[in-house]
Amino acid sequence: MVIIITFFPVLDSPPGNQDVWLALLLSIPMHLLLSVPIYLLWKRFPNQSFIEYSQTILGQAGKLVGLLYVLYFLHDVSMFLYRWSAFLTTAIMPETPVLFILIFLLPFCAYAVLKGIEVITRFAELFAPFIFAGIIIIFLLLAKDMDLKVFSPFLEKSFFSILLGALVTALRTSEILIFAMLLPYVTIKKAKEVRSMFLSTYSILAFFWIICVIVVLSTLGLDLPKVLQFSYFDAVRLISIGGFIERIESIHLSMWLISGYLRVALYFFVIVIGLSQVFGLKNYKPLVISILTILIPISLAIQTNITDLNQFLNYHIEPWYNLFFIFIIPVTLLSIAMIRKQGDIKP
Amino acid sequence: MNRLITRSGQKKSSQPTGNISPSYNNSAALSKDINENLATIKKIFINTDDLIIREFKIGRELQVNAFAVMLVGLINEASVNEHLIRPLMSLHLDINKEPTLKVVKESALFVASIKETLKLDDTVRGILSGDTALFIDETDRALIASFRGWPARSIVEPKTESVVRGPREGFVESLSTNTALLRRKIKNPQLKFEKMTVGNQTRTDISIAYINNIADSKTVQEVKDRVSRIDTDSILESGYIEEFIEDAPYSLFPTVGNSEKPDIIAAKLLEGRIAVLTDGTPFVLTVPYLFIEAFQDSEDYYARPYFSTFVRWLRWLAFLISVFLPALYVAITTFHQELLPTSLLISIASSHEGIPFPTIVEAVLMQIAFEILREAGLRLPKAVGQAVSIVGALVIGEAAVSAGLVGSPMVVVMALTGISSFVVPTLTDVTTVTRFILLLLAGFSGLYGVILGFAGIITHQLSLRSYGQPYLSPLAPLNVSDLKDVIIRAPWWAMNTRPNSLSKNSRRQKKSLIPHPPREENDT
Repeated sequence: MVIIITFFPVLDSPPGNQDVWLALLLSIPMHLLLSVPIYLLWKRFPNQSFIEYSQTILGQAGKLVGLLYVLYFLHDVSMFLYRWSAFLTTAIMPETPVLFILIFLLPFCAYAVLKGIEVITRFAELFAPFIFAGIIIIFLLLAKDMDLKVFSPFLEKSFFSILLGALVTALRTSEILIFAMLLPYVTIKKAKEVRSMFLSTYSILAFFWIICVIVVLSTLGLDLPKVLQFSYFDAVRLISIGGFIERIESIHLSMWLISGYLRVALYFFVIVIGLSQVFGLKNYKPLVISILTILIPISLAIQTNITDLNQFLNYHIEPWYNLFFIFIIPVTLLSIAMIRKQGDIKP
Repeated sequence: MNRLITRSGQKKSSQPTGNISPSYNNSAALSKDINENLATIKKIFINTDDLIIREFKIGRELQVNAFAVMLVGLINEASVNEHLIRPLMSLHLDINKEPTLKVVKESALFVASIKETLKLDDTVRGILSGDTALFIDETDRALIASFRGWPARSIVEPKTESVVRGPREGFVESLSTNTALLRRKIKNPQLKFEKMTVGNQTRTDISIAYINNIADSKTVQEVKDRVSRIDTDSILESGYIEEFIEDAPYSLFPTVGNSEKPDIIAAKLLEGRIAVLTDGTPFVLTVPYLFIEAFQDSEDYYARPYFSTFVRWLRWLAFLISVFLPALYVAITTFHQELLPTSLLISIASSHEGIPFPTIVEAVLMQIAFEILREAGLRLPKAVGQAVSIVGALVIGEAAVSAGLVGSPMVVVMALTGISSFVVPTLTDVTTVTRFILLLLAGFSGLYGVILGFAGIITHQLSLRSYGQPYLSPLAPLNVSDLKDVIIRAPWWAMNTRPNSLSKNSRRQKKSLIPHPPREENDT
């Protein structure tokens, strides 16, 4: 959710024009397709998280896979923190060193992780309405600046490029794997409800993403967002109603800080849980401090320069890298499980 | 201090725990010889000048030796004379018929509450509670008759919780009066009071109140377990008990509520909560206690719903102001000046000219000054109060600004914050500490720090539970039907269910009780 509001790399990917919203709409089925292996694996191993069942399926080699995923999540968090601190240091607090930003944020996240997944999810539950309301309010406040004609040539490029765009968008959300890790904690056990949970998550995601895209494209035009680093933020800066409601980017900032905090806490939790599952530890709490100390240097080491970041996030690299983890490995695991007939096989 | 004067009986413990050794054997029995009993009592209460031992003879003709023991000040002397001494002295007994004790207990003593006991321990405890112990010759049992009466504070409106509309009764220090006040509100045999004693030295009576078919029995049992676990010297106020039974002892936020008014406690009991009444204090504890309860006041329910809803929103706003305003002011004026409209920025900047301190230091100093004023104001004798408040206002407000020590926007911010912190009285201490923390975070790292601090506080609150209830329900595990009493104050005809999380018996009233003109079949 948070990525959307910051960088908007999607605007560079095919089809790269005003039909982006179509691509986003189509990302819902793409998302669902990508989650199929995870869902089927969950059905087989309902009480085990992703790392746990990779150990069940592959035995000792599963630990390697688990470790790989922990590293993947670590990398993901570090990339996210890079984007985050880039935003903060560029747009809001230019004089603050990045180290300080990270050192300040991470103990709060560590505290949330220590308190457990329940607290993190309740936090999300509490703030989700506010964040959604915030996005809608920004949408409404920019309504007068929007020029909807930018969307007019409809289906200008080929449908295939839209599909590709949908796939790329769907691949950006590594949250699918978070699902995989957290499904055993979810209390719903019926398959149908889990399916509807997946569906509703992706639909809400796509809905708000579309709103953001509409906001950005209609206020800033088609070409500018591709070049601007923080398109949504600039769009928010444009809000000016009656000479009074201006400069509300602070509201956007607070929404965004809270979502960032939440996301980092969630990933942090998943990392810690994953690590404890790889090593067979009963309680994950001692690991928190250690992961905290690792995260900061890793995030700093990754931060080379903004061009690198942009290139990575560009549709050429990141989605395919994600594809490997989100789809290829789970499919492999699933096929091995099917061949070996492991897990609960219920119709 | 009132309490110490009216309740002069400090009870000695006879528990094996604690390093208090009673001056008698715990399980000693009484003897049949009256002189031996007399000697034992005198030895226990040696050097206690408020003890009365009245020796007399029962029965006109029979003249059986007896003596009564009581503590002066705890008894209703006239009643003792009239209903214990007099009937016994003028008793006509036929000895061949029945043993003396039985006759005395069943036919001679004109008293409502009486007990028979074999043990010395019970007798001593009874005497210390204000009862009168009667020892009769040739009997190894003592009779404990209740003639209690001591001067107590009358039932007046509590100073801390006064209302415009609503009952003005408040609890007093005597446990029996408090239970009576609650009984008058809830005339239901399902309202149970379970008595327990805590405190090794003080042996304070406490009473756990709940409504049987509404409160959750597991929670009741949990409360009883926690109270019986308390093993301490003294319980002088319910605050002591609160700290022993609360769920989150390290947390800033209270997870046990309290109140001084019977109607508030009765309402909470009817919602499914459990009350703990303590002898010696008018403050009654309620568990479980949720964060939103701080924003619910009894007067909300007596006034009209639209106004009450508005006042509720005002309370939330005031709370947010008192916690965030100083921090936000410091953060924005120090780090993010671009967020202010230009004209406001200019006036704030101009008033900040010539002030020697940075904004954060100004804010902290003003905050400390305000807290000193507030604390002093609580303990001022009334005569001096007026003068000091004028001095405070003039000095802090006017003179400091004109001397160039603080800026006037800072004074405005502090005044607003201070006044807002009293709108939600239960959370005043919480807001003070939180305000300081956020202020320091703001001065250190601006808006970033404030928002992260806010996230941290919410995370902490979310992890709290009060007797099994998540602290922020119904907001956090979102329970929309319970929100009718949180965000708004739904009119009484719409409040069909009790707060769901607290009780399984949730239907409170019939649906659709909204007043409406008579509905007729035919249109006439």
